[in-house]
Amino acid sequence: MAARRSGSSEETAFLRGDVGVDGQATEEQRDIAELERDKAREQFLRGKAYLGREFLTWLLWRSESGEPVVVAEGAPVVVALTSRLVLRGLSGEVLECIVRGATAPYSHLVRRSLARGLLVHQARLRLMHGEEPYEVTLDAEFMDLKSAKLPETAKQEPDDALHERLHLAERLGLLVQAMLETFLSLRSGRDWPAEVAELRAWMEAPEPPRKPAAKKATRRG
Amino acid sequence: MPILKGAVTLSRFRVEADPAALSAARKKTGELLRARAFEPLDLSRPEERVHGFVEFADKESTGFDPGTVHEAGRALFTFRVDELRIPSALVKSELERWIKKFQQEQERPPGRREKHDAKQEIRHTLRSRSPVLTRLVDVAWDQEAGRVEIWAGARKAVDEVQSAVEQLFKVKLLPQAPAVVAMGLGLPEKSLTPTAALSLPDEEGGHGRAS
Repeated sequence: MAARRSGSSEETAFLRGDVGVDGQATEEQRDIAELERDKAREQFLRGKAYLGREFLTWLLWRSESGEPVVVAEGAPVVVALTSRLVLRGLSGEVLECIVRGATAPYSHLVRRSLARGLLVHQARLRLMHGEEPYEVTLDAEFMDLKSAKLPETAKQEPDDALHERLHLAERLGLLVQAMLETFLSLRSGRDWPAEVAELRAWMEAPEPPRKPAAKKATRRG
Repeated sequence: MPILKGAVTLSRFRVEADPAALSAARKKTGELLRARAFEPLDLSRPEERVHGFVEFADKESTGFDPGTVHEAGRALFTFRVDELRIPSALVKSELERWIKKFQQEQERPPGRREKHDAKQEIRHTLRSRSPVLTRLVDVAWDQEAGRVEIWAGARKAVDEVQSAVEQLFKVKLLPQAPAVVAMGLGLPEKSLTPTAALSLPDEEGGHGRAS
């Protein structure tokens, strides 16, 4: 009798939509999803972080050709995104996606994710400023310079080394600033809708067919 | 993350202030830093955390004599935080021992106030045996260009140093975040809304094309 009553109440709960077919509460799941979406929206809007996300996404697209993104401090700046990339979105099932790999940022998988509404939130950049190589991790909200690598300098006196390190760190900051200013000016100009259309076309471009792996020559006899 | 070694991790700021405050900051950098100089933890006092400014080249020194502050074309100084680390697990176990003893002697459990006082007493006793954790954050201020770098990675640390510098020198440090850079470029607020085609999927799961 007790078992029948229990079965009946489970059925009623299911019919009311309180539990799913697995008997687990649906309300809690919905609440967690809503909370996550609220948090994602808050992170998106906080300090206009979306500007930084759009900038890093634009930079990913612009850097793929290998052409200089800007000319700053008297030399062209060529950028490549590398190793780790964090994508974040506002809705849908995936709110954050982290990809790793030397060429992962330019993968078809990333482009498809961008086409579905995710944007680049954090990226590792390799910059060539003239002949000087830099590396830095940038995040969309603050554009802080994180774990940066500066060009190697000849061994010098400690005072000179301090001066050089400060100078190179400041220059790296100015390069990031120059790219950001170029993007923001473009974004508020008349050409932005056309730029966005090109960017979306790049995101949505079909994956090129893979080349078949070359067969190893086998020798018989 | 000190300037001299290790990974380069820093937050960048633009300085905004009225000319009088900027001039005072330039001329009296050492004097002002001395006013908020770091003072070591005094174990006879109740504080468990102290902070203040120390010289960049010598993290134990707070003289800020001429020649120790300005280097490499910038004002260089360090924000130091010393904090007593009293292990909470140790406090908890000591408190449990005290509660047992109290119950045996008084034949009743201790009240909330009695427990609070006992906990304070235990923390005070453990202070002399607890390690002091020191955190150092370097600050580089290009006073001609109006740029400040706070060499720290943790946001909490950056916020604390930013606030300390702002209060001491009566300046405003604007982080070089995209929204602030846009303001600096004089871009109108209405042009700074999200680009719908990139970040705001519509209800059907597709994307608007217009920006």
